[in-house]
Formats: sequence, C-alpha cells, structure tokens
Amino acid sequence: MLKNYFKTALRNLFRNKTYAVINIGGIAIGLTAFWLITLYIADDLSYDRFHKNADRIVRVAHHSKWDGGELHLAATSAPFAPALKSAYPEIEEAIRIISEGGGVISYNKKAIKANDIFFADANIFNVFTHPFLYGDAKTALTKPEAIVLTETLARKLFGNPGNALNQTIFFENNYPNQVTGVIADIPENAHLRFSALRSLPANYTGGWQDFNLLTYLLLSEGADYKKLETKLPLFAAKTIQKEMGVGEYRMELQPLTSIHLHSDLQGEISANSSMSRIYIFIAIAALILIIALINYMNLSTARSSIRVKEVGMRKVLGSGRRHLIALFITEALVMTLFAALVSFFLVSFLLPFFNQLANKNLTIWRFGAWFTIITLLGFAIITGVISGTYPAFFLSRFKTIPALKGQLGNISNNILFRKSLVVFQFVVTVVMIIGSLIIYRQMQYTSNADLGFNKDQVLSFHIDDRNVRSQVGAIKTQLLQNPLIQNVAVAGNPIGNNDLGAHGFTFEKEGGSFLPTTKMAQELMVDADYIPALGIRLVKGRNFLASNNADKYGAAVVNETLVKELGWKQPIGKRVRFDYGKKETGERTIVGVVKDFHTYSLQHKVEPMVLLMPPAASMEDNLYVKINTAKTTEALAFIEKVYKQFDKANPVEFNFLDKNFAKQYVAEQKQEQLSLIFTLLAVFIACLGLFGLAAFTAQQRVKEIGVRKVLGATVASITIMLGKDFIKLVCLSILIATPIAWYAMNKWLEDFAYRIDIGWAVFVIAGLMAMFIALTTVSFHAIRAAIANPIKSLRTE
Amino acid sequence: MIKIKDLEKIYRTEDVETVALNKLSVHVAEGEFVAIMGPSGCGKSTLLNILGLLDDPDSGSFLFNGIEVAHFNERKRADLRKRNIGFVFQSFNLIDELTVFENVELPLIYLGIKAPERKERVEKVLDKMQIMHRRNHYPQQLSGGQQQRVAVARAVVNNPKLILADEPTGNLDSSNGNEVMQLLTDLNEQGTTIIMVTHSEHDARYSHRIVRMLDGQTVTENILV
Repeated sequence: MLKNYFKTALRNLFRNKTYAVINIGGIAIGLTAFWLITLYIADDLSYDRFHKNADRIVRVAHHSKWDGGELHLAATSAPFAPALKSAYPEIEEAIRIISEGGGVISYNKKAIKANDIFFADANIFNVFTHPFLYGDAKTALTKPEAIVLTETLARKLFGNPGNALNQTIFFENNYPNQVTGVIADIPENAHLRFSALRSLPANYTGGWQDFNLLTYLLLSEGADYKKLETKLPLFAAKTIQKEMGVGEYRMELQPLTSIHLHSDLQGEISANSSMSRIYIFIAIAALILIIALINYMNLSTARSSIRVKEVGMRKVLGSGRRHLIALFITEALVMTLFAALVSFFLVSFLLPFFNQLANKNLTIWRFGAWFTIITLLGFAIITGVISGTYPAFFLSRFKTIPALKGQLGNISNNILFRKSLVVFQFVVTVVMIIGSLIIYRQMQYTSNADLGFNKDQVLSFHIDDRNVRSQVGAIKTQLLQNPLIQNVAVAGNPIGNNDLGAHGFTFEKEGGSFLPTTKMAQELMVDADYIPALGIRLVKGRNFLASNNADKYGAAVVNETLVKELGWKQPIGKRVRFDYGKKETGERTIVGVVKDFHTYSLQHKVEPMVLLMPPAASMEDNLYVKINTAKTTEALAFIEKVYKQFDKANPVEFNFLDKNFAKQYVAEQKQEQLSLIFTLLAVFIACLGLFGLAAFTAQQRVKEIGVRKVLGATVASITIMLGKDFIKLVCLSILIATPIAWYAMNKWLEDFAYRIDIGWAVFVIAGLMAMFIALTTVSFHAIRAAIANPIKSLRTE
Repeated sequence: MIKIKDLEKIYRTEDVETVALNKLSVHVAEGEFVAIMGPSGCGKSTLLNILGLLDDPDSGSFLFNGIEVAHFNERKRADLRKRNIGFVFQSFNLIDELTVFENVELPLIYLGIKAPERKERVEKVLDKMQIMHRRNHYPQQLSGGQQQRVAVARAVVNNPKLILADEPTGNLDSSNGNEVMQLLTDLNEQGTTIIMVTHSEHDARYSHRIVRMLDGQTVTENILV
C-alpha cells in the first residue's frame, strides 16, 4: 500500500513540474531559513558552556539608585573578590580580571599590537577551562610579570608555539613579561575572549569605588547562587554600600552561562546578544516556514478539482477515507523530503555568507553528522505531516458520486479557509516589511544623529610609549604646521567605544556644603584643545586654559545633564571632589558647562560627565586630530610621518570617531541586514504561493474568460476580475498587520535611548509595497489569461 | 440476485425537489445480462448508483443476494461493494498516475490481498483482456478501446458477482465498442451478472433483457433471448 502511495506521490510531482517547483522551492527556502536561524540560536545559547565548571561560575555585578542617578554595572573593584571569598565558605575561588593589559609586544625584531590582553589572578585556571598546550596551569600566573599566550598569538610571535615557553617578551618601555604557558585559542562562543593573560600581583588592590575590573566566583559543588545572593545585602552594607553612602544598593550574581544572552549592563567586556533577539529570530524562522507550509496547503486544496475524480474512483474501488488521508499525507511527505534535500545544499552554500552577516563561525555539522541528518529527516517528516493533514482531510471527504463527475460539492468553507491562509501569509509579510523599514530608519537616525560634536572629521590614536606622551606639545606643534590638520587635542580615552566607565564624585550643593553621598559620573581627561577640536559647544562659563596651571590641577568642566541632575542654578564656581581609594583625593572648581555630547552610542542616554585636565603626561595617551577630510589619505600620511619622528617603534592605529560609534551598532546593523533578508524571503515565498494560486484560478476560469471575451469583455476588465479577489485579501492583510507591526516595533525601539518617531508614513509605504508586489505577482497570469484567444479555450471545452 | 421494491430517491435543494426514482421495482437474476434504457433524466444513473451501493435510497427495499442493504451505512456499503461489484464507466476513470498493471491491481490492494497473489491475478486478467503487453504503460499512452479494456480488467480482477456498466461504449468508436460489448458478453457467459445503462439500441441487443425507464419508473421490459 505504502509503495503505491509513494509511486503515486512521485509521479504526481513529476507530472506537475511548476507546482512541484513552487512547493518544493518554497518549503526548501523555509527549511533553510529555519536551519540557519537554529544554528545561530544554538550558538548563542551555547556561550561559555565549554567551561567544565560553567554551572558553578557566577559574575558579580551591582546596581544602585540615588537621587539623580543610578548604576547598573558589570564592573566591580579590587576588594570585592578577596572580601567575598573570606566572608563566604561556599565560594571556592574568587578571581579578578582587568582588561587593560594590552599594548605593543616585542620579541626579537617583531612588534605586534595586541589590545585584547587581560590581567588576571593566578587561580583563574581553577575557575575557567583553558587547556594548556605548554606550561602548567597551576603555576603559570603565580609569579609577577608572567604571561600566558594563546596559540595564535604565540604563533605570531614565535612561529612555533612550542618555542614560546620561558621566553621573555617586552611591552612598551621595555617592560618584560616571561611566557609561562601557551593555551588553546579561546572558542568563539565565549563572552570573555583574549589573546593573552598577564599575572595580576597577588596583593593588587584599589578603592571600593574604583570599578575597573570584573569579579568571577567559583561556587562549591551544590552551592546555590541564589541563596548566596540573599546573604549579600549584609556584606554590601558593611563594605561598598557604606563607601558609596547610598541607600539603595544591590549585588547580583550572574550565572556565567546567562551573561551572553541576559546581561546588558554598563562595563560589559564584550557585546552581548539578548534573549529578545533570540525570540525575534525564532519567531521569524517559524513564520517563514509556516508561510511555506501554507503555500502547500493552499495550492493542494485549490488544485483539488484535478484530483477529485481520482478520489471518487478510489472510493468506488474500495478505498476508505483513511487510505486517502494516508495517500495525501504521503504526497506531502515526499514533497518535504525533497525540500529537505534541497535545503541541505542551500544551507551548505549559504552558510559562509550567513556567517559573515551574523559575525559567527557556524558549521552545518555543529551537532554531529548523524544527529543533524536524523533531525533533518525527522523535521521534514513532521513538516510533511503538518502541511499534508488539512489537504488530506479536505480531499478525502469528497462524496463518491459527485467526485466521479468532477464536482467538488460545497467547498465554501475551504475557500474561506484558503483566503484566511493567504491573509495570514500577507499579514506576516507586511509586518516584516514594516519592521525592516523601521529598523532601517532607526539605523539611519543613529548613524546621522547629532552627537553634540563633530565626529566626521576627527580621528584618534593611542600613544603607546609613555615617553612620547610627555612630548605631546611638540607633536601638536608639528602637526599644526600642515593646513590639512585643523586641530589637535589629547584626552585620556577614546570615545565611542562604550567603555568610559563611571566614578563616584562628591559635589557641592547650593549653599556651599557638599552632598553627603557620592554621585556616579563619567570622567574624561581632556586638554584645553579638546572642546574646540571636537566642536563641543560651551553653554556657560569657559573652556580650560592651556597656559593656566591652575586649571590643570583645579578646574573642571561639566555637562548639562550633570547640572540638571544636581539641580544647580549656578554651576560655575561649584566644587567637585573625587576620591580614589583614599590614597588620592582631589578637588576641582567648575569653570564651564558644555552642551551634552554623546560618548556612548545612542542605545545609551547621555550620562552626567566631569571633564578634567590630565594632571600627568602619562594620562595624555590619546591624540585627537581634526583633519580636512577632502584629503584624508594625505592627512593620514602626514600624521604618521610626524608621529614616527617621536615614536619609531610603535605603529599608529587610526580610529575615526564616526567608525567607533558605528561599531556599537554592529549588532543592530546585523539585525537590520538579517531582518531585511528574511523579509525578502518571506515576501518571495508568499509571492510563490500567490503566483501558484493565481495560475490555478486563471486556469480554472479559462472557459468563463473565453465566453466573456466573445461577449465583449476587454483585457483590462478580465485582468481586474481575476485580480480583484486577491487584492481584497491583501488590503485586509495590511489593515490587520498595521497595529501588530506598530506594537512590535515600538517594543523594539524601547532598546534605544534615542529613537525615531514611527509616524504613519512607514505603514502607507509598506502597504503600497505589499500591494505592488501582490499586483505584480497576480497580474502575470491575469493578463496572460485575458489576452488568450477565446476560440482556443472554448474549442477545448 | 437483486430484488428492488418500491425504491424511492428524491433530490432536494433549497428551491427544488426532484424525484429521481418513483417507487421503482425491478428484479435481476444471477447470471442475467440486463440493459437499462431511457431518456436523459429518467433516473438510470441514480438506479445504477444505488445498485452499485454508491448511494442509498430514501425508501423502499433493496435485497442484494438476499441481504437487505437499503439502509446500510457508507462503510458497510463500501465493504460489500469492493468484494462483490465491479464498475465500468463511460469515461474509463483510470488513474493517470498509475500504470495499467497498477490500475488493475488497485481493487486487490484495497481488499488487502498480498503482493504475490495480486501479481498472479492481475497478470491473468490482463492476459484475458489481451492487454498484457501494455502493462507498464500509462492510460494516456493507450487508445480509448485499450483504456476501456483496462477498465474492464479492473472491474473483474476481484471476481465480482456483479458488473455495473454505465455507457461503456459511449466514448468509443463502433469497432472498439463492439470489442468491449463482446468482452462483457463473454464475462456474462462465464457467470457474471451484468447490468448496463445505455442509450444505444445496438449495445442493448447484447443483453438478455431491456428494462426501459421513464420519470423514475420502469415502463417496459423486453426479453431478447
């Protein structure tokens, strides 16, 4: 029996090649999209699970709120780890990681810039799993000035990683580090990736409020991190909360495996993904597949008139309804199995492009060959059964006698159901079109928004050599001799990398006394040229004076947000104190207020900011140069030439500010590109279905069209007659899709502190696009039927 | 074999009520070859559908081999039909996706006959119909006469007691039509009861008895042999 079904199914497929291509093509594309997205999601869900102790590792984060400010920080300070370990026996290990260990590494005549080097406590390898290729994990970072390289960095420096052990490499100013180990490269699916680890001194310490590192804890077997979390308020009250002097403070223990998808704090070590993005992708994948399955259901039932006699005859010959159901489900299965095979080749072909788009390194055999094949087959079977069930039940219920005459009987319910399916397909398509348009507009907005300073002409680069930093004045003078160089400034950090961090400051209030609690604010060390070089606007007071040493040690400039949050009516003359672990205190007087400017990307609100002049040359390590962008190449060459006179050893790595900011939107841009591609896929598949339906409808009505033409109907009137039913459905789809899309995109835009207004135009444009697409798809067959010679169709009938 | 008494069948739509069979009574003995004739709309096809257990009457009695089947449900009718009745249609009604062999095999599949026995029986009947040489061809590759021979083969492969033929030569030229009528006659001589609906007086002369219908009732019966 099954053999008979398969033979019938296969032969049906080959007899009706157009519909076979439409169905197999549509399902294959749906399966491909689903497969690619599944690989993407599986990768995101697998982050950090390769660590043997993954389930026992947590990261310490904290949250605080006070009048005029709040803090949600992944970064903690040096005292956290040792204090937590000694307070709680369920903490087996506590480690700290500082991300500022990078620089230019020299060995023999090689110099390699590696910024992704961390300092870490010696017991890091008790917590995280990093297989050692050479060296001993137990002792690798116990000595000071030790470094453990990853295999790739070791290869870059030594050729053969095996030659690296016990060699001495040098950072800037001939600072030596001995290579004590080589570890395997960090897997892609890790939130914490680095090219080397340097030993942190065992007695490393700092102020409680010096949030400049990450703290990880390894809990003992069976310990419950949530239970430990409940004990932490007591700990915080005696330590950090007391230091900060805030009422609301909470420490959080983040399970390691949840960081990549669930953590979105300030000071994240890398760009995380989010569960909402995963859910969106799951929804998109499911919807694209559903659209393809709907096509099959629709086309199968629409073409029932072709199969009705066969159904009648089979019933006459003794087929029960269940035999017919089995036959039609088998046909659907054959279709989806073919589609699965096509999808395998599509995925193999598209994966490299998808990887580029998604910034991942996915492979088709991620889950192992057998598991992948069995899952694909199983999925194809499930898909086949789902898509075949409705057509099977519909086709099998035809009454024998009318079926023998080719009559379908009363199928008004089916027609209504089919129309609902078309509406559903187009609702999904229109929602995706609207979504893509809004994502595109938001991305354009973030790229072109006024950040409060001129980002387009300004580049920055890091001065690696400390000696060179003290010659900044001379460098500036030389650079400014060229008219291509419009302005030069120095600062303590580049901006636009979303990594400035925050510090606690104590501010004077109206009346002369100081506020009792510290307030978190961003701190930026800048020289007197910075504000004019970047085109930042002063709204009150003045800029720093270069000639004035008093400004170097006594002045501060703040931004409007800080003034507003503190409720200052007269900010000029107010004082600010800062406290670095009680070893270093300072007090400055505010001399100016600048208009808010963005140092973080537009996903983040402008934070209160304090600008100070660098008190020491060592802090003047980022040169900002404003150039004439009409001759960028010339300008860059000139800057490099001048700089090389001062620093022969280190290469210059230019970073244009607009690109720094643009990098922060990479995740959203990828999302934009992916959503555009999947929208196009959904549109294509929906159109495939509409194309097939339109073809069939035209074919069914060929006699009617012939008669109408003989009686005087024009091509236009027939085209409209054939097309108008479909167009009505698309109009209904647009009406339903609009509020759904509005709600969904509003939710998406909530992630942006600065966002577009959706407006009504985007819905109109999307509606017109959907209408145009539907009309184009349907009119091909409508016009073809309308211009056919009626004699041919009537003669055939 | 068949005893029908006072059979009624009424078709009702929202606006119209059509009496297709009006207290019709007819008997068919085992081994008989009966032709049913009458103008369009007289109820011939309705009668054939009820005789073939494809439809059920609204009232009256229908004894099939002594069993009252008038109010059998669809499942019971289907079961009785596939074991006892073969059909030959005017438009052949072969399944285009199946070969000649597979078309003829289909009733045996639905009877649950195993593959080796199916093969034997199908080959025997194809041989008898002289169509064995086309066993692997599809219906579209055959002439009208050949297709009808395949349809007859399909109708007899399950050794039915009764064959119902609805205008079996309607779509054939005279030469092929005669061939098909001869096939039916041969089957009848071997003991199969045949009831045939026809417009053709020529075809009706192959039968033993002609039953003429008008307005849902039998009006005359002519015995030919």
